[in-house]
Amino acid sequence: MESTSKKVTLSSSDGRTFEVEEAVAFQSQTIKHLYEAGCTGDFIPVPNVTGDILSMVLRYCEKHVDSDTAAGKESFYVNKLKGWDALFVKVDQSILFDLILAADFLNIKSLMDLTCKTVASMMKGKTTEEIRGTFNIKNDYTPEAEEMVRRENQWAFE
Amino acid sequence: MADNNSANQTSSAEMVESNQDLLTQILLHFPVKSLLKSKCISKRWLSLISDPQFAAKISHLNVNLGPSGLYFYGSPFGFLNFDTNHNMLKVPSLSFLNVTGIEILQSCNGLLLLLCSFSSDNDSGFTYCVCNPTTKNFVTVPLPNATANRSIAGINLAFDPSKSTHYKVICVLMNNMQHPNLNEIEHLVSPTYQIEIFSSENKAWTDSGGPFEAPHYTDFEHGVFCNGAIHWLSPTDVSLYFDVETESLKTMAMPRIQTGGPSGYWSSQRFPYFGQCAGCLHLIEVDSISKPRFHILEMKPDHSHWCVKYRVNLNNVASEFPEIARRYMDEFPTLALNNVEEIEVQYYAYSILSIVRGEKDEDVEVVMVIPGKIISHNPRLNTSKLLSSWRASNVYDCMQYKWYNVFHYVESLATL
Repeated sequence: MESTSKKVTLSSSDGRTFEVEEAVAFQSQTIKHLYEAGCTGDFIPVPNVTGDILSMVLRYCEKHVDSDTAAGKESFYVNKLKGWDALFVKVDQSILFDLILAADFLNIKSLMDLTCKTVASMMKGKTTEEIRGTFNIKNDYTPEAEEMVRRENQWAFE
Repeated sequence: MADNNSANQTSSAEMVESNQDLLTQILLHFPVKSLLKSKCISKRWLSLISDPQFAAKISHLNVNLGPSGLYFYGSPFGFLNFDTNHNMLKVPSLSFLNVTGIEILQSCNGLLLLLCSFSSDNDSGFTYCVCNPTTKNFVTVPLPNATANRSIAGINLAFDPSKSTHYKVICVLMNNMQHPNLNEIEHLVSPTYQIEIFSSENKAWTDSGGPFEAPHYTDFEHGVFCNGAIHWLSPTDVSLYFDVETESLKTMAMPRIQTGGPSGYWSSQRFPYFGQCAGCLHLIEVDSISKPRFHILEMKPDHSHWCVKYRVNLNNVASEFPEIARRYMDEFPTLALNNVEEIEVQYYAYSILSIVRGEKDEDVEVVMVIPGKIISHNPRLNTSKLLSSWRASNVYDCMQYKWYNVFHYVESLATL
């Protein structure tokens, strides 16, 4: 089949271009829809994602290109891929959040799950103050109101 | 280098946090206990985590995760910690209910059905109550319409967060026989039963179906909710289950390793375990406590038949915990003088409290009480470990505890 070797070119927000196989790029539902809607010029623009992040995302897609096939579902490959995924998300926190935004924009569900799960597990054991710091959240409780919410859920803090 | 993420611009973390969808995606992966703590982050996080729709999504994701702890009456601690989910959760206390006495009747996908007794200077009595021990939410369920002619045979909870945020309480009422004369007592007349349902949606009891007869010794007190149906064990060849959605009463065949005697006698010890975990209904049938091997059976989702899920060999447990294997001779030394053959016989002193399954197929723990200890045994990996040392070293003491003395603690944000 010709489609297996057919290539598409993607262009990042900072103007870098990446040529990848269709099957790799089409793991992004956004790109697939753009392509099917006739966006088949020289390249498909990915305006919200930088070249550094896009290259990481495409590396992820290349690795996962077989995960829907029968062979890819065998436990040996699934476990191997899980190991690869675990290394893939061992990156700086800021890059991880960039990957979430990219996975959201490009609509890649498995990458979304992976990155969100990773952020969630990073938050494990963190104090309220540390979590606020990570997301730069302003505490909008009065001290009394915060104490009340805390008391209602006391056992979770024990 | 021109960087989009310079300090005075919004960071990607902030962009993710301010996007409701993305924040929800992340929070869905938080353990329930962390979510409770995270209510303190900000008012926005509080409202997101307290949203019933979010709670339903979490329940849906966690529905087959199994328990993270066990409530066990009889253990001096009142609960056991269990870590198949590897998060070493402390089981929340029920002291917030502020009543004189609490009896857990059933645990169902994160909710508990309780019988609470209260007594004060001018009033005392009991009340049924549904509570979420994780969020400390609770509501009182009005008493069913028992009259002088019918009494409560059992009361059960049905809650499946993957289908509905509402729960139902199913009450089985026994129609009392009217003044049986002494001649009739000779020919045992079977009582008839009636089901009434309380729905949290319309908050009222309604009759369901007509009166029915039940297989002998059906245990309506200890119903097991699994796959949308309440199951009631009978030590005979057939047991009843009630499909809550369609309100239909059906029968399921029980395994036939053992057959009843000619007089229709069934040992009450025939099924020492009946319970559910991670959406599967489990049953154990034993022939005799002298036999080291038994199977853990699992019911097919269509209720067609039981199949063997795990094989247990108590000799494997005995290699680590020798106190489980005993001889009659040691317990009854005086008998040894008369009948040497009989008392040489070995038996196993244990009672199965719970079967707990995790995400993977080999994640299975059979929790049992043996003289002086509560242990868990994994029949797939053939490993045994101590969960708790315990005062009851007496054989009879340990064997009096049953599966219905133990209740799963399942984390849930379900609101009542």
